[in-house]
Amino acid sequence: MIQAPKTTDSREDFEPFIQIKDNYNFWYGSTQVLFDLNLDIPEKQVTAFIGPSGCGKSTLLRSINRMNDLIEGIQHTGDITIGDQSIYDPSLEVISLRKRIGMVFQKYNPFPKSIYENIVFSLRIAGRNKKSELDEVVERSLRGAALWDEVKDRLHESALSMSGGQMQRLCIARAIANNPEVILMDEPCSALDPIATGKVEELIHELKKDYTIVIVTHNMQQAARVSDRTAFFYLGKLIEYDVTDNIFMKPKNDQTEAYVSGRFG
Amino acid sequence: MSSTSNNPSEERFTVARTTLILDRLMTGVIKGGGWLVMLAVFAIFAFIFVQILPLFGHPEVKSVGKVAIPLEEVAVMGVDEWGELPFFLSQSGQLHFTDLPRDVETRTYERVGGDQTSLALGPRGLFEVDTKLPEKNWTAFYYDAYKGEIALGSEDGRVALLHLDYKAEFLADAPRTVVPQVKSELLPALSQSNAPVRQLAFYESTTNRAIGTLQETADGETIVTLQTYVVKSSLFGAPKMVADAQIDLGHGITDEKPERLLIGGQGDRILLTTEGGWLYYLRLNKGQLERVQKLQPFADLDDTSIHSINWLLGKQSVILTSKSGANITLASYLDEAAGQILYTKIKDFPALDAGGANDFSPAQRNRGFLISNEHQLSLRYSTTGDVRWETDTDFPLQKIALGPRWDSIFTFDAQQNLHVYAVDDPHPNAGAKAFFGKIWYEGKSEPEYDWQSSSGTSDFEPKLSIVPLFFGSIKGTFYAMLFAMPIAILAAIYVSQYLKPEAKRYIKPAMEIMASLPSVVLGFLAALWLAPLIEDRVPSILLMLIAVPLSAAMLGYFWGRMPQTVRNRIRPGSEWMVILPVVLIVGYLSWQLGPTLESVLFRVYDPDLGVKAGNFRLWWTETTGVSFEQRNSLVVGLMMGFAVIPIIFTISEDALTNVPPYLTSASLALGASRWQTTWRVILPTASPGIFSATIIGFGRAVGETMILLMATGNTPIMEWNIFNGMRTLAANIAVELPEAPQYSTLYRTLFLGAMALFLLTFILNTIAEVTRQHLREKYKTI
Repeated sequence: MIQAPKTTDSREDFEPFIQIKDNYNFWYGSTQVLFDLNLDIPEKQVTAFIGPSGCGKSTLLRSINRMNDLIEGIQHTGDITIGDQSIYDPSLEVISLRKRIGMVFQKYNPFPKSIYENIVFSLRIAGRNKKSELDEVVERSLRGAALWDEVKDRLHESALSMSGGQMQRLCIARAIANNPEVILMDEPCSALDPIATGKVEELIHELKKDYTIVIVTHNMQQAARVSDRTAFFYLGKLIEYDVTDNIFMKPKNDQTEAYVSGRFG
Repeated sequence: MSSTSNNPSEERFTVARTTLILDRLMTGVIKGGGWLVMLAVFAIFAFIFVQILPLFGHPEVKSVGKVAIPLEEVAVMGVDEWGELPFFLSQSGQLHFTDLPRDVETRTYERVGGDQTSLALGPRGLFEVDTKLPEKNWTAFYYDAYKGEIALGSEDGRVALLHLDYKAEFLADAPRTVVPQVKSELLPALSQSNAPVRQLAFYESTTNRAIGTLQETADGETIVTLQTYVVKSSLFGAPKMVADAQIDLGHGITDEKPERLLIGGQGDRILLTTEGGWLYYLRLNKGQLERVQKLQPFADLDDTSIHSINWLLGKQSVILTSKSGANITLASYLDEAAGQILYTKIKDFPALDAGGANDFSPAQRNRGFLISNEHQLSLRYSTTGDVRWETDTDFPLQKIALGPRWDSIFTFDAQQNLHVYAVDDPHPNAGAKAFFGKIWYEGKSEPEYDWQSSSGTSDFEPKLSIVPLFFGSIKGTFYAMLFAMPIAILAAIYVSQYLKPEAKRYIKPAMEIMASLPSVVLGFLAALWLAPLIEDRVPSILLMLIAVPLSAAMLGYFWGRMPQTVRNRIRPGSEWMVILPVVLIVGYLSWQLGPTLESVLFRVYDPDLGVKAGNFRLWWTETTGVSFEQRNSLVVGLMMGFAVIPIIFTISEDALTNVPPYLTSASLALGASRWQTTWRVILPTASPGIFSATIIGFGRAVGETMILLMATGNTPIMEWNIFNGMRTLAANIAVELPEAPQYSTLYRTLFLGAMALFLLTFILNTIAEVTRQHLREKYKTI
């Protein structure tokens, strides 16, 4: 019934930056949630993971920076590489991996600190405390997250005094403060109103000039609007992966077609 | 069915009556309960307040009335325990008693006449009791009201003793009657017979007797003699007092003329004053007279002469007045430098208005006294230096006597009237100064805060400062928190952030069970097991305190340097498998190496062994100069720590676990290590909860009683020394409760301690709550 995943794009299209390979499988305890995944993600593009709830797209996203490690009893087979380095390399510190990968969560989660301190958090934990450097990073990150003009006069106020959309953009600014290579976004707009969503989507568009972005979304319009490539997952399997326009305009798979046209999900 | 369909909208939307009634009932019950709780707390506060209020009250003294006593030349006046039978001893040696009927229940005197100021005499009236002493002209008197002893010295150089005793007789169909019993003894003639005795001092115990006399010879010379007696027991008959030695007290005092003398101690301490205002403290040591001290109590006055000198109860202090009316207390104290007992001024009272005292009556239950001159009558208290009550009389005072129960005052005026006052002063030794001030107690070498509410003898001076108790509470709590806080909070961090959740499922309830350990069991363990164990192993514990955390930190450092492949073998949450053996081994080694360390570092001359040997106890005492007790603050800190750790741990752990996981995720995703996440994100966010935990633990420690009661020596000292004990407010209440009769000063003072404890925790909790709210506002999450 469910067809084996097939890579619909040819490898000649791009040089893969993140590779999910060797039939990546993933278990929570004895429950397998990801099945035989192979997926190449291009550099400096936006790749969207879509699929109905429980399809494993968030699990896959969180596998990329090994955030799943926090959960007891996880197992995997296969490998994920970023720029040719395996994230499971025993000599690799998971901390240094995460420094390379920024992450934006479903619900905005600023620390109960000032706007300024939120952004310089990643620098402070790296022991970089030079005021001039921090100031520069704050401005660059906030500008990068299109937030600078809104908050430049209240950098030392609590981050929690901001609006929801601002807080999510602050989280994006916080993620890019460290100059990561990849930004993972886990349904970044699900808690935002349409106007704030619009702003974040605009921002994603800007960010892809500098960063490789992987975004998980429930909102197919959003996937269509912001992503260059889209992967459709169903029940832990990759059903179809192609250039976004292909997925939405002429899906090759029936299930993809049914999902993107809103017949289930 | 049919009815609902007929009229559906009304019934469907009507709330059932029972729902409404129940709702209102429960609202009322809950409201009532809440108010009752608040009322109960307030009522406790109010009750305690009412209990302690009388401690700060002023005495009430009321004139009861007067009665004419037609007696001439009264030399000594005294009063019996019940205040019903005052006696008058005249200079000719006649002893009269006055029957003053007093109601047994209300303690009021019977009065006669329209103005109700005249006292009624009882059926016995004014009656004389034969002293069986020969008729003589008595010139000197010494009266010890506490013992009921009167010594008399005659114009022809004889000394007689009178012993006054009162017996209550209960006859059928009659009220209780107080009957005097008088014994007398005329002593053999003194060596300087014929010379009149001008001053007289007397001391007697069951084993010896001393009589000091100051005689004036015909040629104007003053001779001061001390005649000592000892008890000789023979096979037959009662033991007898036999004259032992006669000592010339004036020997060597040539430039000054002796004026007055008192005998104290065991009949071996003599205080001799001279006309020039000097006070000699002489001591009889194995029959040899030593001049210990010579001082001038009124050196700062123009006229330094001493007008009167009298013992206070206990014979540790003397009350002096100068010619000008200055009134001071001198007391013995141990002079560290001189290595012996000396006398010094410890209290200064307001001066009497019209010169030195003409009579003096010490209290027989406390350190108070009644002092008078011509028209001034003053009730004073030596411990606090307080004038309790004072009045100006419109009749010239001659003789005064204080009721033995501190409940009445008797005065005899020049017009031969006996005036009686009723005193209502249940707590003369209380007051703000007594509780909170530094007081120079008799026998002490400086003013200090001290607590000693009772003693083996009834004539001791109670010391009721709650400052050392307050200090003890703080000290005990400090050491307990010093031990408990780091362990509990670190454990909470470890369990909530590092340990595997499965292990946490067992550890948390286990810690909570630990919290329910009865503190009496902990105290028992501390006193009988831990204290002796620690006593000899202090160096081991010191070594452990340093070595265990150090080894754990070093392990952490080297673990961090290990290749990732080695480290990956231990899954996060199971690190204890590496660290626990190391900690246990280092702990064990420290324990075993302690004695070796002791013999190397803490070498000191051991008088028991006669050689230099490792001995921490001696070393500590020698090096710091403070004592080392077996039941000390270290034991208390450790054991009370055990009582407090579970509380701080549980609440802190909850606070740490309740930090939203999305903050942890955010921090970890930014590349923070677990420690960085804990330190920079989780701890600040959980800080209000951890703060609360600490304060609740603090409250527990402050109020803890049994552990402190059992594991400390309960000595109310004020030293931070970790190797001695303390007495806390809470333990003090428990210790002294059986010794505090209801409504006594001690009883109310214990309530004062309770109030101090209550206020301490109340203030602390208030500060804590304010701080916690502030922290919560600062670190609130979305």
